[in-house]
Amino acid sequence: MEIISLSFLIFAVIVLAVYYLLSQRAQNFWLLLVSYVFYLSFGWQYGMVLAGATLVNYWLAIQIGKGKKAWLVPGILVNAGSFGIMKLIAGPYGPGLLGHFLLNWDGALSTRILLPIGFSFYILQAISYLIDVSRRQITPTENLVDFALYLAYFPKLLAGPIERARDFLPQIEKGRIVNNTAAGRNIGLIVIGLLRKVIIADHLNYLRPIDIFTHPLEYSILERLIWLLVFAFGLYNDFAGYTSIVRGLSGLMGIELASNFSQPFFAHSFSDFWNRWHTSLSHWLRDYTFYPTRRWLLKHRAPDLVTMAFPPLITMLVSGYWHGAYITMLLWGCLHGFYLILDQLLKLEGRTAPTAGFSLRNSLTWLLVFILVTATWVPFSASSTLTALDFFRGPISAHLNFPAITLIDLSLLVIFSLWTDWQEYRNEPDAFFLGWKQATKIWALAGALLLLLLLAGKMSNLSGFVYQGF
Amino acid sequence: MSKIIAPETLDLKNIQKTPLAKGLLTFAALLIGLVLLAEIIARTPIGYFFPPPSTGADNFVFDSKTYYLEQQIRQKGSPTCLIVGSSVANDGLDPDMIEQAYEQQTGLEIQCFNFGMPALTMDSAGNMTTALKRRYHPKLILYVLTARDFISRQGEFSEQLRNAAWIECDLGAFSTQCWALNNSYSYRYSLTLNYWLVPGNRQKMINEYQLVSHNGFSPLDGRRDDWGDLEKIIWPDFSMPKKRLEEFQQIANLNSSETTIIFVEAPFYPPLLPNYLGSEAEYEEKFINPIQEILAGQGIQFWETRTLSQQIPDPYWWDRLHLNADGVEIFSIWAATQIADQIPMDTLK
Repeated sequence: MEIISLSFLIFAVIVLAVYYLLSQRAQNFWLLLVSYVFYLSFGWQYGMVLAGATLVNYWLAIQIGKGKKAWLVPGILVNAGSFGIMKLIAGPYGPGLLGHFLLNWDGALSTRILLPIGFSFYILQAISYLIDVSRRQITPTENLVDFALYLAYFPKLLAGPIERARDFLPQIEKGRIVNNTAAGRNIGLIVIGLLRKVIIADHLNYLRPIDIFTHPLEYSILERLIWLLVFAFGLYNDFAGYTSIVRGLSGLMGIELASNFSQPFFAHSFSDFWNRWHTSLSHWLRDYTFYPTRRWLLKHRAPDLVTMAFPPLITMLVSGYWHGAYITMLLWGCLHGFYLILDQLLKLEGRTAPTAGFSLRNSLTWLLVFILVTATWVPFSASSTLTALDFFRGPISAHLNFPAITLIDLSLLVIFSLWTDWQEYRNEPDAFFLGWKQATKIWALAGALLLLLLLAGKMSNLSGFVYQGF
Repeated sequence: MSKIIAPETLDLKNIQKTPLAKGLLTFAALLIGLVLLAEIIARTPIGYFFPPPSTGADNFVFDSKTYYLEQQIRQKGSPTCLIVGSSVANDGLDPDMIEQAYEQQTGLEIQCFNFGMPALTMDSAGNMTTALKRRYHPKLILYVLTARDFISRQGEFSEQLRNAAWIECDLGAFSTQCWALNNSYSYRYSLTLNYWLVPGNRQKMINEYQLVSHNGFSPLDGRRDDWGDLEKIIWPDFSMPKKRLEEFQQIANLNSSETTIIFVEAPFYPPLLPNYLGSEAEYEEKFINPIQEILAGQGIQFWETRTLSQQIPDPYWWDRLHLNADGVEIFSIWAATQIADQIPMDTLK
């Protein structure tokens, strides 16, 4: 059951209608039940894995909460190990590895199906839960339903946001209120999410040639740069659209989910970028990879250069591996690691990043960050390292092999994306429309719905979101 | 319920005051306004100034012809005659000339429309013609037939037509899409918009849209530069496969008291004949004779045009298989004369 589908709409309406009629405890049972129904619609095996992970981590957390901290390391190893192995097997090297270790493996079965959908997201939640319990930042819940719901809650199950137990569990342990303002805000978030996904992302992705990252040399340098920009905006709006939809839906149930994006293309430094892009992941990596590594190095009096360079590099390599266990994705992580080291070096030299206001320096810094970050989408998407290098090779040519009208379409979509970001930047980032005048809100909602109705046609990929693939 | 919904949320007395409710109402009003506007535009001559409402067949010649025919029916009633076939029909017969010539000869007014589709083959011609007959009830269908209709080259258009919901709807399938296609121009305009949104379609759409005049005829001017080699044998391995013969038979079976079906041999440049399908004898043997045999069995007329082709001067040919506007005049007047001579006037009233 895909999130943008008629069946999901009917499912969500039924879930909400029943949910509103139930008491708080019954609501949690109901949400857990429908979350599993939703998840099982992708495959019963996935449900078994999720249930298994839930029981194991529930028991481990109880043990750790009782002071048996020795269970933490096995707990992390079980979760991270299973994730690491599954990710490796599901990646491009999976069939080869299986063929090497399992002699009767004929490669007929796609290794892709071995990685349950959403596993990359909920397994990080499980790990952070165990660590937070061991750090005594939270008390382990004894309520299995609540914990199971923490991992399985359907709006965030497929592609996050990666929630922290300390934010999520208190919300479901008490009664929830949805008032008119909250209802308006959350429906607004859903509409904005749909606009981002169906209008901007799907149209951008439709226009982009499918072989731009596999056969880049067939395109001129200028074309490659244009399609790279299109990819960046398409990916961003796809994921930000998804996040907005699920946050809105969850908000209608009175449960707030973490915001994943905060105008990432307005970042003025690389560390600022990671405070704006997929923040539920980057903050998870910061808290459970970067800080622990840095603390460990400081504690063991490692040289300054190592203490400064190693944590961001290892953090971004982990991020790369999380996205995909293959060389180009690790290269993507490595590049971001180096960028963050560069950030640190500039800070050490006292060149603090600009924060607000228009100036030549600010604009140039913003532009540099944007260009360098955009360049990393090449290894992120390229079919091989050589292809990634090919992307930047070849004679400089401004030849465009598509009609000018396509450029107008692309520009309009990108401007729409930037306008939405600008609204969030200038107003309340979470739901910028709340500050609008009543008449503006009314016309904006009507216009948005009309736009969705008219433009959600054959160019709309109504099947899934990019990040569901991770 | 009160445990989660704040009291004011479900206060029905005040719910209409919320931006959400007002926004939804405004959306509904805009939508109704847009739908009404589209329906009015499409059902009046204003519609000629807009791109035609699409049938979702991914072919704007087809969409334009469908819409123009519907407009003609709205203004003049059901068509007396429909001209069907591939490009040889599309740019070979001018309905206005046939109407005028027929009226001059008989004094009877008829309404004709050219529904020839470039690249149509017998892969989908049967279904299309059946749908046209069921939908528009013409009294006469002139099917302009050429050997190319049977060759095993499937044009892109045949593929599009095979999957077109518009045709399937008339062949008995029912779905909400069928209902919308048959009853809602606003839905069809939304298909046009969706087609236009794909940048690659836009120039194609303009080209195809500009080809078609309001009576469905698409004239060719002057002369094509590349005529190919007249000495070269064209389609030497010609045969009529069973599947395409069945489609042909499907068209022949439409002949009834309500609708007369006539097949017309498409004129071609006479010097081509010695090499057409191998030789003149093979043309007769492989193409004309089997057709005549099938049609004679059902009492359906087949009008041959090789004698007519001999009378068409060289400059009146656009290429060896197509006439230009001057040649069309001769062919159209000949067709009108044939209709007047061969078909009882009562059947066309």
